[in-house]
Amino acid sequence: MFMELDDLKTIWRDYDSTLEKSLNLNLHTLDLIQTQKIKSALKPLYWQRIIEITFHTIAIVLLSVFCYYNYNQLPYAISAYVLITFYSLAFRNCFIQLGSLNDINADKNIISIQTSLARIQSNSVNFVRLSVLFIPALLSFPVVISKAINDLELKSFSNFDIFKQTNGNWFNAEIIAFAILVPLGIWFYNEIDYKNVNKKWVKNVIEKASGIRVRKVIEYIKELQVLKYGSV
Amino acid sequence: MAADKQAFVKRMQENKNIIFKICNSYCSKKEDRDDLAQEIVLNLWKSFAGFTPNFKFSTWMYRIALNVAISFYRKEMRTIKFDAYSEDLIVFSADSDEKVEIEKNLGLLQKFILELNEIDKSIMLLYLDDKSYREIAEITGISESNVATKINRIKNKLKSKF
Repeated sequence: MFMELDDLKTIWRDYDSTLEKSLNLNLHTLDLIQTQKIKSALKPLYWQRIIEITFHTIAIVLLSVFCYYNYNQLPYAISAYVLITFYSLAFRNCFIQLGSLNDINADKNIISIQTSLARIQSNSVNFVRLSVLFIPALLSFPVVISKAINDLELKSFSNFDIFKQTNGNWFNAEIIAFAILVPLGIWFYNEIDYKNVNKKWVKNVIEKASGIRVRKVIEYIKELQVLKYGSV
Repeated sequence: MAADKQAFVKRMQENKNIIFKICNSYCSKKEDRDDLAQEIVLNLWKSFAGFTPNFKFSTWMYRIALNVAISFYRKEMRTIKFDAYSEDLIVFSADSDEKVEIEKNLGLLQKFILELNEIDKSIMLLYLDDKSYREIAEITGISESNVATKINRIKNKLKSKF
């Protein structure tokens, strides 16, 4: 069967008049849908933070146990304390973000959602700054782990002793790494600040630190503002 | 601003069919359709202040709505999956949805439009809505002769379907 385009146009016109009678645009739901979009986009972040908090808690507990058994062996204890400090700060950061995400979930008003979002953003930036500052400290991991393996007498891992592996040169290597990375970390920590946002690379780091979801939500909020008030 | 919003809502209700037909032609899933409708209304609202009565409203609306639909289709803007909305933006009065689906040829035509590429979809929609070649060219931003060529190609494709 072959239909002429004019026949299709007639079908289309009939369709149009059916739609005219039956279709409705629920424009009043636009704000609601947009708010739902914001919450929906942030939901996975909530679970990410819970997983991170769990991981940080386990790390803190294990490192504390390690410290308890090795408190009199200064190099190991110091390494573990540094790592505990890092994980505690990371834990605190996640906890604050979780609180802000909860606030967003409970809020209906744009200003308070924006405030919570700004808090999440600044926390994410702080975490990036902190992580870079702590890179030298994370070098303590092999020391702590190899000592823990020895203490636990794990035979299959007995070869993993960072001091033996490096013929005792581990501390020298770490001192060199510290000498290079600590000033770099301090410089980065000072540079990544909102006051330096005029620098392109700083702006990029700050924007990317909070991740694609938060950036998307900021866009959705701008749209919600346009819907509610007609301008951003 | 409140008066503008009222005028905008009135215009949207008058031209709701355009939004629905575009969304239906660019999205096969209901939830995508609602997302696109929302995106279209939002963009129309953003541009509404710039609308001058020198233009035909439907032409202005088509131009913006089709641009949004094409970029939605191209970029697959739904990179983030959303929970189902508690209320729909596009709603049908009771039992009417079924009535729209009953017509067999309409179903075939909708399927045919869904299978077209994003530019041909818009040309086909405008053609079916009785827009002249000049208007189609103005809305889609391609030349009139190009519009004519594309419509001929679409007609040939149509012959094999109907």
